[in-house]
Amino acid sequence: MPEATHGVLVTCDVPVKQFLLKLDNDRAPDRFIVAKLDETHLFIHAWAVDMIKDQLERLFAENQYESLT
Amino acid sequence: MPVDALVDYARRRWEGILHFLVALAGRNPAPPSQTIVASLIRARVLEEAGDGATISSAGFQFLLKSGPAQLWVLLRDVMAHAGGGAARRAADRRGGSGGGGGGAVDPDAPDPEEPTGVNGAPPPAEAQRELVALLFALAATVPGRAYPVAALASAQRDFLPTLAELGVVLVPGEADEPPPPRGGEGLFYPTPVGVSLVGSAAAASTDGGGGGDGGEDNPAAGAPDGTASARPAAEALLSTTSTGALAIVVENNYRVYAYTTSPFQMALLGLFVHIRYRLPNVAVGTLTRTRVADALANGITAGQIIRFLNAHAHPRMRGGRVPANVADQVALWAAEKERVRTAPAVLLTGFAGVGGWTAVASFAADLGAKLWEDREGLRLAVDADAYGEVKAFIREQRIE
Repeated sequence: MPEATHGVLVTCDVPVKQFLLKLDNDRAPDRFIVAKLDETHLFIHAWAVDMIKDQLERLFAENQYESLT
Repeated sequence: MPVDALVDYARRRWEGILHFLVALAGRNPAPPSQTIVASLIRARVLEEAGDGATISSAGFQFLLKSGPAQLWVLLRDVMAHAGGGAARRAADRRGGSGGGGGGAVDPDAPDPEEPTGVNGAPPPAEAQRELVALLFALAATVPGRAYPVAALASAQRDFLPTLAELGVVLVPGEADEPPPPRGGEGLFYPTPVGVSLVGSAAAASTDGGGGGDGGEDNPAAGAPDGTASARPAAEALLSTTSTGALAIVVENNYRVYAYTTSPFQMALLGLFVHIRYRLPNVAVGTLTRTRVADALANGITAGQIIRFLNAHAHPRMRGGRVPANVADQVALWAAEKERVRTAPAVLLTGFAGVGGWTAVASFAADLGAKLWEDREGLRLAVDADAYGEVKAFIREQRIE
C-alpha cells in the first residue's frame, strides 16, 4: 500500500530551490521541507507557504537596484 | 450647437467618471451620481468597502479598456437595471413637481404612450425595450442638432439624465450644464459618442468581453475579421473619448514622457509609472519595479501595460512601439511573481512495483490531477482536491 503525505508542492527555478534549501537549514529544529523531489520541485508543509513567500519577496527586493533620482 | 462643443462635453463627462475611479485612492474629484456609482458596483468595477467604495482589480482592467468598451459596460448595466431606477426616479420627479407646481397637472399625464402600471411607470421589460429603441434611434440622429424631449416615451425621458451623465447626450440644465437658452427648453442634443454608440457595439463586445465578468485578460486583443466594419466607428469614438490627446514616449532607460493635458490621463499613468514632474502639457516619469509590482498586485497584467503604452505611442517615437528592453523588463517583473508556484498536493510514495505506480499515475493523469512524477523513485504528487478519487482507485485496484 503506497503512503500518502499531505502538503504543498512547490514548483520553482533552480536558484530559488537552493535559497529554500538554505532557508530550511537555517531553521534547523522546525524544518519545513518534507521531500526534495528534483531540481525544480520541493514538497513542503502547508504552514510554511506564507513564510517562504515573505522571505522570497524580501530576497527579490534586496536584489533590485533602485536609483535615487 | 457646435459639434466640437459636444465632443468636448462628452469627453469631460466620461473623463470625470474615469478620473473618479483612478483618484479613489488619492484626492477625490466630485463623484458621479448615485445611479452611476451603483452601476459601477454592480459591474464589479467598484467594491463596497466599509465606509465607501474602492476600486477592484477588475476595475483596473476596466480602466485600460478602450473607450467604447468601457461605455458599453456601464450602459449595459444601467439598462439592465433601468426598470427599477426609472420607476423610482419617475416617482421622485412626480413628488417634486407636485409640490412645486401646486399639483395641478401631472406633467406625464397627457402622454398617450404612458401605460398604467404601479406609479404610472412602465414595467421594467417594456422600459428596457424603450431604452434599446432610444439607443438605436440615436444612431440615426445628427450630432449638433436639437431634438425635442417631448417626442420620447416616458422611460426614455427618465433615462436622459443618466445618458447625459455618461456624455451620450447633452441636456441643457442636466449634469452641470448651464440651463437652456430662451426657447431651448425641452430639447436635447445627441453627442458624436451617442451617435456612433450602436456602431461601436460590435467592436466593444468583442474586445470588451462580457462586460462585468472581470476575468478578461486580453481586452485589447484584435477583433475577429467579422467585426472589421464596426472598427472605424469604434476608432473614431476612441479619439473622442477617454483616449483623446495622449501621446507617450518611452525611452530605453525607462523614462516615460506623456504629452497630455488631462489630469485623468496623468492619474491613470500614475498607476504603473512613477511620475516625477507634472508640467502643464507633459508628465515625466519612470517605469519602476515598485510601481509596476503594485500595478500587477492590483490585477493589471504586464501585457495590458505594454499594450496601453503601445496604443498611445507618440508618433515621433522610434518604431512607434515601447523599446524591446523595456517591454521585456516589464514582462520579467511580472514573471518574478510567478517564480514560485505552490499547489496543495498529496505525495504518494512506497509503491511496491512499477506496475502499480504506472496504473495510479495514468489514472491521475486522466483526472488532470497529476502534478509531478518520478518514474525512477516511484513517487507521484497529485492535486489535493482530487486525492479522494485517487485514494478510492488505489483501494479498488488493491495496488501494493
